[in-house]
Amino acid sequence: MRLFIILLVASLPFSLFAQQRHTVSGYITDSLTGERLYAANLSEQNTGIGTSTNRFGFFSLTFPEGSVTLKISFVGYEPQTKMISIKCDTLLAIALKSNNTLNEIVVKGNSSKTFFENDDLGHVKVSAKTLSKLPSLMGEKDVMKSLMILPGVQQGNEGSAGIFVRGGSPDQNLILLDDVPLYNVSHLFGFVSVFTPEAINSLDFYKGGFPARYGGRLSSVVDIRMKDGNKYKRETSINLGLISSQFTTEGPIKKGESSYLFSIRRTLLDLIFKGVAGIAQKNMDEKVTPAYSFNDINAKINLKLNKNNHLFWSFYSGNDKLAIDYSNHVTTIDGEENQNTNGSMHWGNVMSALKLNTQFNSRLFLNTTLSGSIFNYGNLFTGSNVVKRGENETKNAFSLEYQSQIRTIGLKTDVDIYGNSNQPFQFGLFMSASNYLPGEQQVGKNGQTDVFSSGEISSLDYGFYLDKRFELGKHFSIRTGLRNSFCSIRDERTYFAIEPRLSFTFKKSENASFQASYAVMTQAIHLLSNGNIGMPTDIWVPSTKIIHPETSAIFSLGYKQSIRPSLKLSVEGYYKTLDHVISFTEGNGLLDVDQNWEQKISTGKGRCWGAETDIKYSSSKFTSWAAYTLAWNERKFEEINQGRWYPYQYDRRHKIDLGIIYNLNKYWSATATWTYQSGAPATFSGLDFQGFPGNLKYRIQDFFTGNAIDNSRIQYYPKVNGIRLPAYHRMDLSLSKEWESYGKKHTLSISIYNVYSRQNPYLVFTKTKPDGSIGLKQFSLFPIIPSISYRISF
Amino acid sequence: MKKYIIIVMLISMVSCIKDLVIPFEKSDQTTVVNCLFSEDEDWQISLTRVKSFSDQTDPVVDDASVDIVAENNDTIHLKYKGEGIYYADKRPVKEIQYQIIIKANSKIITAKSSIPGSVNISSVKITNQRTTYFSNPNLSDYDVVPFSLNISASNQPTFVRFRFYSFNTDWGYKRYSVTEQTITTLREKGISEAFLQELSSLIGKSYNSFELNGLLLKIADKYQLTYYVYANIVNPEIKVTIVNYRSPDAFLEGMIFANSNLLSNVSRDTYNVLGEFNSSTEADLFVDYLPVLNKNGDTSYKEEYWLELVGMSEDYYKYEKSYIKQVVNLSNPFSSVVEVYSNIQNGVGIFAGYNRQMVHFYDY
Repeated sequence: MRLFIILLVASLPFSLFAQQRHTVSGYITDSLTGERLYAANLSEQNTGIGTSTNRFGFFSLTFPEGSVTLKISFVGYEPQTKMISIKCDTLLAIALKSNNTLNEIVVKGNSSKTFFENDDLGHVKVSAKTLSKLPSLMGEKDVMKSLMILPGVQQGNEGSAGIFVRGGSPDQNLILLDDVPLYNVSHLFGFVSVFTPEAINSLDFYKGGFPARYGGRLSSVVDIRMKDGNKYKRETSINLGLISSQFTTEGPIKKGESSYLFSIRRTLLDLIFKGVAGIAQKNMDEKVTPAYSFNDINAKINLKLNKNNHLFWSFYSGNDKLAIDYSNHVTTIDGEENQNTNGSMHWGNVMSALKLNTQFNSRLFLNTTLSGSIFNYGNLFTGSNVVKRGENETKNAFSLEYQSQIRTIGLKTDVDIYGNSNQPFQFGLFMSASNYLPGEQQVGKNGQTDVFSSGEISSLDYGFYLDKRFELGKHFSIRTGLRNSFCSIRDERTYFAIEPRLSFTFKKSENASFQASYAVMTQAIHLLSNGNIGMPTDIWVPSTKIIHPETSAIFSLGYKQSIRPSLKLSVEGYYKTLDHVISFTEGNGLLDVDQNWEQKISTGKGRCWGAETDIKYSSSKFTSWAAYTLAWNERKFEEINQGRWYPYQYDRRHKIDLGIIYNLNKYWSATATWTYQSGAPATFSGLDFQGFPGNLKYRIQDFFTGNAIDNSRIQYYPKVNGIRLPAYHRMDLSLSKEWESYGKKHTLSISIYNVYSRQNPYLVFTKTKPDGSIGLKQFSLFPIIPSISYRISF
Repeated sequence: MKKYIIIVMLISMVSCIKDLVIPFEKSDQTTVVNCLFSEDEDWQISLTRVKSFSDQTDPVVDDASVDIVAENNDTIHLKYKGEGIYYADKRPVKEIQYQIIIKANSKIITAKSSIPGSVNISSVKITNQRTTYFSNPNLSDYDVVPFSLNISASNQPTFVRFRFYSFNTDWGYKRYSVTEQTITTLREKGISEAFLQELSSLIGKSYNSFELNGLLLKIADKYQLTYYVYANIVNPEIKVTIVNYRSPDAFLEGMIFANSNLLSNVSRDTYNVLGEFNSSTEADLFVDYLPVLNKNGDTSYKEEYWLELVGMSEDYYKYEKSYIKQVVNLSNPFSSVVEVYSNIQNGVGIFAGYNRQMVHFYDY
C-alpha cells in the first residue's frame, strides 16, 4: 500500500511549473464526420515521446522549445505527419482521413494493428471502423457476441444471456454505455445484444489489469461509447433483417461544431409469429398466439458551448417483451364458455446521461457526468373465464403481476492532468444513489389484490480513484491505481473497500513485451440466478447487512509479440479469487423472493485460473484468428457439496475459436467462424437410495413427460457438478456484399447460424424407456438458422 | 429438390430432443442407514447400499454388525432378519442419546440421536368454517379451514412437523378384502384366469376402499377389463368387514398450510408444515376443506379432522426439510439440485428420534 501512495504522490504534476517547455494539446477527429477519436496515437518522430487521446479525443504533449515532428495514427485511418515549431503552448485540431478498408490500414500502418486491438494484455479496443468489419451472426453485427471469440470469454448455455469472463458470472461484467451501467444487455435470450451497431463509436474490453476509474464489478469491463453524430453532413441508414430492422440518422446541428444522432431498432419476429398463428388458427375455437419483440432507441446530442466546454446528452431505452395469448370458446348443450389467458414478461433498461467536458487549459481536462437509469423486469398474467348458461352469466378473473426494479442516479467527475511525462495523472470522484426492489408480487382475484413484496432497499455508493502510468526508461513502465469505495446500505451498514491496481510492462523490443498485473475489485450488487440458466429475468439484489459485497483479486501474467507486422501472438495466464459470491440456498428460487429473501441466500468463495493464447493474422485479402483457453473455475459454499470445492456451472476446460474473414473481391466478403467449448458440468449421478418409506405421500410429475416421479427414492449426489455434458461447438458462415449506386451505400448479408445443426445440450433430464430402464435425454435450443439482411445508407 | 431441402430443414429444427449417452455411475458401495425411532416401536434399522439407476433392486447389507450404545453405555445388539433389516426386542427411551455403530464392509459407520421430549398441544380452535388460502410458492388458492393452537415443549429448541388427516366414519370402519370365495365366484362368471391369478395375490390382506380400488383398477387395466365388468361383476364380490377401531390406513392425508416465522410449508409442498420454536407459542394453521366439500351436506356420517404432530430431533428436521425440497425440485428441470441431509458418518441416510401424537380436533 505504501508503494502505491508513494508512486501516486510522486506522479502529481509538480512539473506543471517547469520552464522552457511548452504544451501541444487538442483533439483528434474523423475528417468526414467530426467524431472524436479515442485512443488515437501521437508520437514525436525523433524522441519517441508519445501519448494517446483520451476518451473524448483530447491529447496533451509537452516538449522543450523547438521543432518537433508529430506522427499521428489510428487504426482505420491514414497516418499523418506534422512538423511544428513550438515557442508557446499550442492548440492543434487534427482531422484524420478514413481509409476505405480496415485491412489496408493493417498492411500500410506500422503499428501492426489487427482485428481487435490490444495494447495492454487483458485489454481490447474496438473502434467504429472495426465494428463495421465484425462478422455478422443472423444478419447482425453484434459487439457483445463478437467478444466471445476472444480467449477467456465464453458464453454460458446456448440461449443464455451475458458473457462469462475468466470464470466470472454475467453479473460480474461492468457494461457501460456512455459511462452509465446497464443491467440487461441482451435481447432474444442472448442472441442479440442491446447495442445497435450503427449507434456505437467504440468499445473497450478489459478482462484484467483494470484501470482504477472502473469499479463495481469483479470480472470484466465493457465500456461502450455512442457516436456523437456527424458534424458535417446528414447521414441516414436503414437496415432490414429477419431478426431486427433499424433506422439511424445523424447530422450537424451547427456544422462542424454540434451534432445529433438518433437510432431506433425493432424486431419483426412478433409480427411474423402473429401472422403465422392467425393464418394457422383461422377457424379454430382454441387459439394460442405467442409473440416476442424487442426494441432499442439511442439518441445523442453533442453541443459545443464554447471553445473549452462541450455538452453531451445521451439517451438509451431498450425493452424486451415475451407474450402468449390463449383463448378458447366452448359451446355446450346448455350454454357457452369463453376462456382467455394472457401472459407476458417484459424487461429492459432506460438510461440518460448529461456530460460536460471542460478543458481548463492545455494540461487539465475535466469530464462531469450526471446520469440516471432504470432497470425493470416484470411479468403479468391475466385470465378470465366467462360461463353463460341461459340468462345466467358467471365471470371469474385473476391476475398475477411480478415486478423487480433498480433505479439509480449518479454523479461523477473524471480529471486528467498532463505533466511533463505526457502520461496523464487521472483521478475522479463518484457517487450514486440506488433504489432496489428485488421482487414484488401482486395477486388479484375477482377484484381483490394481495401484495407480497421484498420491500425496497436504498443504497449509496461513493468514493474516489487515482490512476497514473509511469515510463521508467525505454523498456519499463508501471501503471498504478487506487480506488476507494464506500457502500452505505439502508442506513444500516457501510462497507468500505480499498482496491489497489498495479501493472508492470517490460518492453523487450518494439514488437515484444511482457506484462504482469494485479487488481482488487469490489461489487456491491449481486445477481440471483435460477439454476443453470442465465435469463434476463434473474434478480438483481443489493448488498445488505447480511449479504456482503463480493470481492475479487486477479493476478495475470502475459507475453505478446508481433512476429510480423501482420502476425500477432499473445499468451496470458491468470489466477483469480472470489469472495462473498452468492447463490440461492438449495431448493430456493426466484419465486421465493419475499420479505425473508436474505435468509434464502448463501455466500461462498470462488477460484479460477487458466491460460489463454491467441494468434491473429491480417493481410489485404483476409483476416484470421485462432484462440485457445485452458481454464478451471470452482466454487465453495458451506451448504453445497459438503462444503468442498466443486466445479462451477460454467467451468469449461477448453475453448477454441477459429475465424476467417476473406475479401473475395471489391464487393464480396465471406466470414467463417467455429467455436468449441468443453462440455458444461452438471450434477447427475444416476445413483439413488430408499428414502424413509412413506415419508412423502403426494405425487410429483416429470416436467417434460408428465410421468409420475417415484418420491420414495432419494437422489444421491456424491459430487456436485460431477459429470460433463457433451461439448458445445458450432460453425457460422456469412457472406456479404457492399456496393454503391446513385450515391447510396448498400450492404447485403446472408448468414447461417450453426451450419451443421449441432444439437448442443441445453437441458438434461431423465426418462424412463419402454423397457423400464432409465435413460438421459438432452434438449437443445437452436438448430441451423439461415438469415438475410439488407442495409442502405445515404 | 426444394421439397427435400425443406423437409431436411424442418426435421433438423424440430428434432431438439435426443438421447444422451452418459453412462450411469456404478454404485459406490456407500452404506444407506435408515432408522427413525420412537418410544412406540422396537429398534429396527434398514441397511442397504446406494443403487445405480441401472440396477433393479437395492443391494442389501446382510453381514453387518450393528450395535446401539446408550449414553449410559448400555449396548443393544441388533439381529439380522433378512432384506437388510436389523432389529432388537427393545424400545428406545426418550431424551436419552443413542449412538449407532455399524461395522460393515471394513468400515465403521456411526450416528447419534435421541427422542426429543414430548410436545404439548392445547387450545385447538377452529376460527372460521371456510376461507381461501393463497399459497405463494404455488401461486394458487386453496379452500381451507383456519384454526389455531398452542404448542409448548421442554426441549429448546423444538422441531415439529404437522400433517392433517380426515377420517370418514362411513367407510373408515369398513375393511375390504379379496377372499378365496371371491376368486371362485369370479371364475364361475367367466373372468380371465390371468386376471384372477394376479387378484389372488391380494388374498389375506385388508384395505380401505381407496387403496383397494386403486389396486383393482390397476389390475383391471392391465388385463383390459371394461369398467362395466369391474364395477358390476368384480366389485360386488369383494368382502366387506366392519371393524370397531380406526385403522391407521383409513386416515386420508389432506393438505395443510402455514406461513409464519414459526411454521411454514417447505417450498411448494402442501402436505407438511415444519417449524422450530423456543417456547410456548400460538400457531395458525389451515387445513383442507375438500373432505367437507365432497360430503356435500350429507348428514349420515361425519368427517373427523385429525392433526398429526411429530416432535423431531434436529437431524430428522433437516432430513425432512431437504428431502421435501429435493422431491419438489425434481419436477423442475430449471432448479438446482438439492442434497438430502444425512447425519450418518461414513454413510448416508438418517438415524434420528421422534415422538408422535394424533389430535382429534373437529367433526363435520
